[in-house]
Amino acid sequence: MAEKIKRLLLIDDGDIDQRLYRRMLERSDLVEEVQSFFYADEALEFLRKNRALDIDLIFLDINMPRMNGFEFLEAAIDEFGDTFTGIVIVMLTTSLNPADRERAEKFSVVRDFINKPLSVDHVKHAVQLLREVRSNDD
Amino acid sequence: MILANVLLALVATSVQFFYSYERGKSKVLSAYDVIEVSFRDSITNALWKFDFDQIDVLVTGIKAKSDVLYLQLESNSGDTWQRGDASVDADLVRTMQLDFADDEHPNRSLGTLTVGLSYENVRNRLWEQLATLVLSNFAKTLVASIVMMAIFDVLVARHLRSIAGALTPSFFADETPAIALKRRDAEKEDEIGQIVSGLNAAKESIHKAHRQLAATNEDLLDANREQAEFTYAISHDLKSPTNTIQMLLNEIEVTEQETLSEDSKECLDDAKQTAQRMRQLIDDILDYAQAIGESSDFDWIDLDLVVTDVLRDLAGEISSSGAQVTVEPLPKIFGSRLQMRLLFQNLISNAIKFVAPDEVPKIKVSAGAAPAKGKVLLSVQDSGIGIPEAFQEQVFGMFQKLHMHSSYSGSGLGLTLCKRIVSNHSGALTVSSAPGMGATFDIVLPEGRFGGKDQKTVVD
Repeated sequence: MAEKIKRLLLIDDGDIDQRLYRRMLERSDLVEEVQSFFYADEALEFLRKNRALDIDLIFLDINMPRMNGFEFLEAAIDEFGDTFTGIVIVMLTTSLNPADRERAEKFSVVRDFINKPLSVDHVKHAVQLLREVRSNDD
Repeated sequence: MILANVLLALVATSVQFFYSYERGKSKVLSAYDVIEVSFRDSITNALWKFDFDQIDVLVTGIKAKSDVLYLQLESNSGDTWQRGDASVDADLVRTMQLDFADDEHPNRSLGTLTVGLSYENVRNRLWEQLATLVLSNFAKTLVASIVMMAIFDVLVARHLRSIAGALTPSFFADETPAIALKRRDAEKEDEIGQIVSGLNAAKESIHKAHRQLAATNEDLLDANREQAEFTYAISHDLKSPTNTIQMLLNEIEVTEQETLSEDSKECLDDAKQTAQRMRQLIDDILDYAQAIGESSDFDWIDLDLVVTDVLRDLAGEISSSGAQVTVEPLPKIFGSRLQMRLLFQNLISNAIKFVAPDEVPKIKVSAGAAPAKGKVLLSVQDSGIGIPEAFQEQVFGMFQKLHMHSSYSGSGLGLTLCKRIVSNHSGALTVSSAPGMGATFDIVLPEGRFGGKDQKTVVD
């Protein structure tokens, strides 16, 4: 039985998309707590206020109003630095643009890059990644 | 250099003349010596003999000599003979003693003969020489100058004239022929030949560049046109299936009202919302594609009428939001009626949309004071949520939004479209705003046909 993800952050501006993610996550039965943010700057604010909180995974959209996914990563790494490496981040996108993928790969905290729509398999894969990362840290 | 030459010539000539003068003078002196040698004895003898007739003859003879101005013979016995005017200043005055001596009588002074000589002849001759010199020099110089000018003209000036004549302002741009000089050896490679070759080569390369530029421009315009057509075609072709999806979803909702679970109903609802978003996006893209296309339908338009039409189109939104819209008199401008309609539709629709929940939109459309000569200022002002300064540039970006769809719908193309329309009319679009303080969109447009001058439209 695969380990569960205890806490997962969903950062995506689409409320319909968020509902769909939750469906997938629930169906996978691999995630305990899911926290949603529609704006990246609000997620940043949350992280700032909850430094002690242990966050396993972040699903991060790229195209969002005000602050996009890349801008969020840059700001977060700038502020929190190393702490991020414990968190597995997966970028979600509809973008077929290879430049986006390249740009994502430059961030060491980004462990995966998923093309929407999100499926249960994607979630399983993410859990797998998390386990790998965790075991490396031990 | 020329001055030194002239000075040298002057000095040389002066020296020459000086010596000439001296020679002349010495000649006169010699003449006197000759007179002395020739006449002294005979006069002395004539005096001794008291041969007054002979003296007359001799004295007249002396006077007849050139250069002799006057002479005065004074005998010791008191007789004087005079020829000429002794009161006149002579240049050279000589007096010879007339001493008689023979075997019987020792040296005995009989009188003096004073001769006054003039250098006038010398001077006259000098003037003649000078005149001749000057005239001949003048003639020589004149001839030489004429010859040199003629040669220069034939060899150089003529060609320079041809070159200058050919270099009209449009020489490099035009289809005018290359410069060809009338020379015996047409391909001569001297400096003039090189100048001509250089100019012709430059003309050729500019021409070539022009042709390439024109060709590239054509290609670009074609590519632009093609892209606009493509965008339009795609959007148009997407509308139909989108519509179908919406209809099908409605069908499911209606027919399966009773049997659907709450969860499924939620899914269905989300699907309908998404389909609607898709439809709106396609419409917005279509509007945009049209705006970036041809601007062939430019004419004088009355903005009052345009805004009236727009408000009629937005009647539904205005009444449901309770929006208060004030429209002040607007000027006539030269532009596209359709594009102006889209511009105001977007700006006013935004003003109605972007208000805080339960707030009533207050909107004013007006014309301001002319910001510069030949320009008009139009403003759309609202009392909505405003735009933070950090995002005031971003909002005009393509597909850029500041809010999620569920807060404020839209595809992020509205302001991009407005900016493009204003740009098509050679104008400028700016926004001034602060969060919670509403926003004012200012449009500056040229008054007439792009500033009153009859220029070709920017987008052909």
